[in-house]
Amino acid sequence: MQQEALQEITAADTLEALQAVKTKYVGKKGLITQQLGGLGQLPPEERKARGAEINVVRQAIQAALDEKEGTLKRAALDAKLRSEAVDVTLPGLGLPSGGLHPITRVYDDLIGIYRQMGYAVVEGPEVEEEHYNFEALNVPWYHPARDLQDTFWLEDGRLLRTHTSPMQIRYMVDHEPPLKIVVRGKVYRYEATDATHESMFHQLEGLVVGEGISMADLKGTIAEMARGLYGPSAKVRFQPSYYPFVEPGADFAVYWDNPRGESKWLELGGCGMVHPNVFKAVDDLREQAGKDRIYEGMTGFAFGLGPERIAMLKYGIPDIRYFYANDPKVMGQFRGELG
Amino acid sequence: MNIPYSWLKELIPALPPVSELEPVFANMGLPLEGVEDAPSVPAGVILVEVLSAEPIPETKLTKITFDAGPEHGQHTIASGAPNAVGLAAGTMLALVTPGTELGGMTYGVREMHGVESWGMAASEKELGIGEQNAGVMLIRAGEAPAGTPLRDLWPEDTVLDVEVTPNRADVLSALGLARDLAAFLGLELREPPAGPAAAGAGEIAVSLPPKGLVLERDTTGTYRDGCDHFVARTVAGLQNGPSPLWMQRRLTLSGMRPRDLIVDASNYVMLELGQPTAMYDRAEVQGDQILVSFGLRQGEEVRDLLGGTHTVGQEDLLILDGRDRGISSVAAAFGSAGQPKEGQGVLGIAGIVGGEHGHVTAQTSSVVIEAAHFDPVLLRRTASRLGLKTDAVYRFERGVDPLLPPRAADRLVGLLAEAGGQPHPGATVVGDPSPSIPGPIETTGDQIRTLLGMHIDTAEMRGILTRLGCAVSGEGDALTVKPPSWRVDLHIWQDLAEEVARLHGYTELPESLPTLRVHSSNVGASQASERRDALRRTLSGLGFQETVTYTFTSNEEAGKARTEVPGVRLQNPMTADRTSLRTALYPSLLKAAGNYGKGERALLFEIGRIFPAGGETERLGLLMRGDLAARTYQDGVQGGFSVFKGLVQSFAAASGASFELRQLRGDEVPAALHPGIAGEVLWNGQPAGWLGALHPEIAADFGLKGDTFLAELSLPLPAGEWAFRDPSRAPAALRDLAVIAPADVSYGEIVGVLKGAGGELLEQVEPFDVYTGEQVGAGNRSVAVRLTYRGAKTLTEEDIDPVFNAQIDAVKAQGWAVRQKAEG
Repeated sequence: MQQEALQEITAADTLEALQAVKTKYVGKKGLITQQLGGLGQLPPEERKARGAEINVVRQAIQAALDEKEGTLKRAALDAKLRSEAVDVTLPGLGLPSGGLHPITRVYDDLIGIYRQMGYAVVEGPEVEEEHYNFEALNVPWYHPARDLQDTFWLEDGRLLRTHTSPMQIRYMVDHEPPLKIVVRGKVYRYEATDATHESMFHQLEGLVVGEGISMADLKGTIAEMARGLYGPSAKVRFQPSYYPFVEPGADFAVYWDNPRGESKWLELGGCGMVHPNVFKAVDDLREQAGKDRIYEGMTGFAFGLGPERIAMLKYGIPDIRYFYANDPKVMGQFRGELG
Repeated sequence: MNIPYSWLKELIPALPPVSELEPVFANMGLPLEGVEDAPSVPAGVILVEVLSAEPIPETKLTKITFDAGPEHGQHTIASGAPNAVGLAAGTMLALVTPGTELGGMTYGVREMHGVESWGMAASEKELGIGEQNAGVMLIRAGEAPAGTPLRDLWPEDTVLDVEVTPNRADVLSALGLARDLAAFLGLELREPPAGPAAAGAGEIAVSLPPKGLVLERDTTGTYRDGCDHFVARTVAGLQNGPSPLWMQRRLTLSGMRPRDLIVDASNYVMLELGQPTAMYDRAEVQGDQILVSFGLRQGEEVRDLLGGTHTVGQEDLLILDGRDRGISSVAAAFGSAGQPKEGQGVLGIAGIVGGEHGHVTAQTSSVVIEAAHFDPVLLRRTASRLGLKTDAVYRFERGVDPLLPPRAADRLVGLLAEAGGQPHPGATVVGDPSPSIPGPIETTGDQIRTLLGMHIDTAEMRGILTRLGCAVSGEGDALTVKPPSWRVDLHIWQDLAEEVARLHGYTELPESLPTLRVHSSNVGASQASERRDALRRTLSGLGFQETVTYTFTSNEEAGKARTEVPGVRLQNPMTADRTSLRTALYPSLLKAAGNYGKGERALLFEIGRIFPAGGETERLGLLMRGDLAARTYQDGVQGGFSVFKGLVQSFAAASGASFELRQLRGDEVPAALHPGIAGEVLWNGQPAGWLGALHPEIAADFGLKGDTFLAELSLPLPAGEWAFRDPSRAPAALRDLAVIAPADVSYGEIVGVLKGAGGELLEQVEPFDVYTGEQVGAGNRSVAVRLTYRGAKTLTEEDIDPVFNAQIDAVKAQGWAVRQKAEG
């Protein structure tokens, strides 16, 4: 019987056929089961030996059944998996991938550096009063420095801010020193557009006010920014310059180890020690608003730079007009880690 | 400002070569914008002396006979130059001798109309040394022996283009620049020659305007003196003509065009010393009197020497002569009696431009020299009103040395005397410039060191300031500093700190960091900025591309987009499509979407400012066009309102905000939107903007085919309250309910009613079927919803029934019907 059973097991090529064989031999009414059931009619001395014999047969059949079942199940699974195969080289659904504007990315880089140094980040109005844009920043209406910033005037006498510096005034009027801020935002100049000039662009402005703030602190701060932007070996150079709202004033340049081209000094922006007339103008405005005069006698520094210029240099963008054309073929390139 | 290197070298004999100067200028704060070689002329260009000039009959040509020097002898040329007509014997020309190559051409000997033309008489432009091309280059008689190569008198040079910031008026001259350079490098300065000092009274009577003028606009109430220093001298016996070559050369290399001796001398003194002067033909200056007037001749038309016409304003300074009246005193001049005739007697608009009346001509033989110091603010105001940008006012508005007029007048007299003029020994000098000169500044070495954060010995500071021309006194660390009259930019001790740092070297500044703990009023100041950053990150993560667009718009664009007519308008728009500031973001986004290809998906956002009548405010704009995923070999995901709303829902969910749309109808629908696909955004339950489909007519006007979906939200978005909730482990209980209501009742309204009556147990309402058709009656709609209830413990029928029944009652109270389904 064992021989027959094993042959039938081998012949079974489906799980259903194997189940039938199983039922035939080891099922409740199977042949083996019946034989085991017949043991009771044998004399006790025979019963033990016969029982052992049948059990050996039963175990052999059961082992063969289990093995065959495993084989058949594996084959069935293999067939199922084969039938489910997908050509994974076909493209997936073309779902959108978003991205930030390159100016935002440069702001994120810069502001990240200043956040680490404990600066607050603020914004302010783009339509500005003449007083905040010029007078309070030590640029009276008759000052030739106004020629440096060609202005879009509004019909109501206000103007489009020519720099983010008016936020120095607004912020100081509303807050008390010591303070450390950076200001981000759009600025406007009455200027014909070409590859390097735009009538609208962006600035990052910094202001630190406290007691005993020095120009060396300013230079160290710009150097920290330079290291954050251009790596640990970045160097900073200061040269005398003039901005009416600072004294002494400087232009700063960063030595850039360009991995893709000529290394050179990059003129990045202007800076200086806050002019006492600016503190006076702030205190005048505070007094008008019923607040204490607290800025005169303070020292501080301010700096400003343009993210467009940094982006153009950093990403190799040849024309400033790319920033506001919003060409998907250009914007789509600014994803992930960039160079 | 352009200046030839050779001029600086003459003033500073030890000046390093050009190749070493670039970093020097940069560290002085006067960076070089350009360094250009100014070539000379070929050796074959020589000076020749005109012997005669006569017309060639029946031509427009002139036959010039000239002496070309011992080597070449006498020759002729036929010249068509207008200024060759009637050339005086003795005048010299620049002649390109035969065989000389110039500008790619080799000149030879030709015959023209029977005249041997030996080489060519050239213009400055042809010689490559100037711009003048209207005639041949004229050189005054006796400049050099005939046959002298021009290059001996006009050697090659290098022109430095120095960038001068508005505060450094003192370096807008050869002397000023050399003075600063010498101080910076610690080299000896050789001042240019002084002219003959005046002795005695001058020939011209001068009256100045009253002191203490107050300008209408000046709210500070500052008193101004229109003119606080005026020197008039006279020179007779002049023969006007070409100025000396060396002077022409310096003018040319400095970017000015030589004209004639008198004008060139005046310009030369401005370039050399920084003092603009005016020259009047003395024969035209009526009554030998000059009045500097303020507020006179308002509304009159004045012609300037260049032919321009200007209308006199109420606060202009004019130079008037004594025409039609004898001006005996300022009081008389300002009296109403004896007003002269319209436009007459105006010699010039002070410090800006000379008048047609009294200007110097080729025939002028006697001149009045005006060297004066005018109020910078008055002049700037007039010049900007008249749109005049002259070299003179450029210097005056920045600040000319108030003590300079006598020296400049003397120098000018000297130059004219060298050219054969006969100066009157006297001078008229009026005014008191002392209030314009910066007073002494008190500081200490410590104060400066602390501001700079750099150690510089006080002794070194004294040395630096002295080198700059300051008078420095004070004991020990104390510094009392009287700046020189030409440094009108030095007012406060911080100005001195800059000078000390500049000459010590900005490169020496150490690097440190401020150590301070910010005042508590600054804590949290970044919050708004951080929220914007979070919005940007969330939206870009959801697949939106950030855009940055122009703030400008026009009425036409606003009309096309049907947005509020811009009220913030530019006084001076640059182009017709940028005349005002936008009142909504979506027109900018529509334009940006126009950059995407036909059928290409555009998913855009912008955070930007708009300027509606209510004032400047910040918005977030969102736009979607095209499929969410394009169909390829497989089905894509079509775009559409539901996808767009779904993305904005995800944005809200990722921002932790609740988000709902309230259906807008009729007049409530923003003009931008499709009247049937428009909703008000409720962000954390607060109205925050709108979302919908772009009106198809606007889409057509913007050239956008296919559906476009838009949302515009006001920033900052309304904040929500947040608190941690321990999630209930109890199972949910579900009930289904169909609400049959008129088709124009929105789902949102139905949910609102169900939620209103749902109490705390109602966790969620979800629609699973929306049906219109016969079974619910015409004009009606059935919305089937699944209601999810959950409590702290397992809910029983007894818990849910009252709530569910209350909801049904609330629905019925609206006049709507319900169809209750078997519970799920």
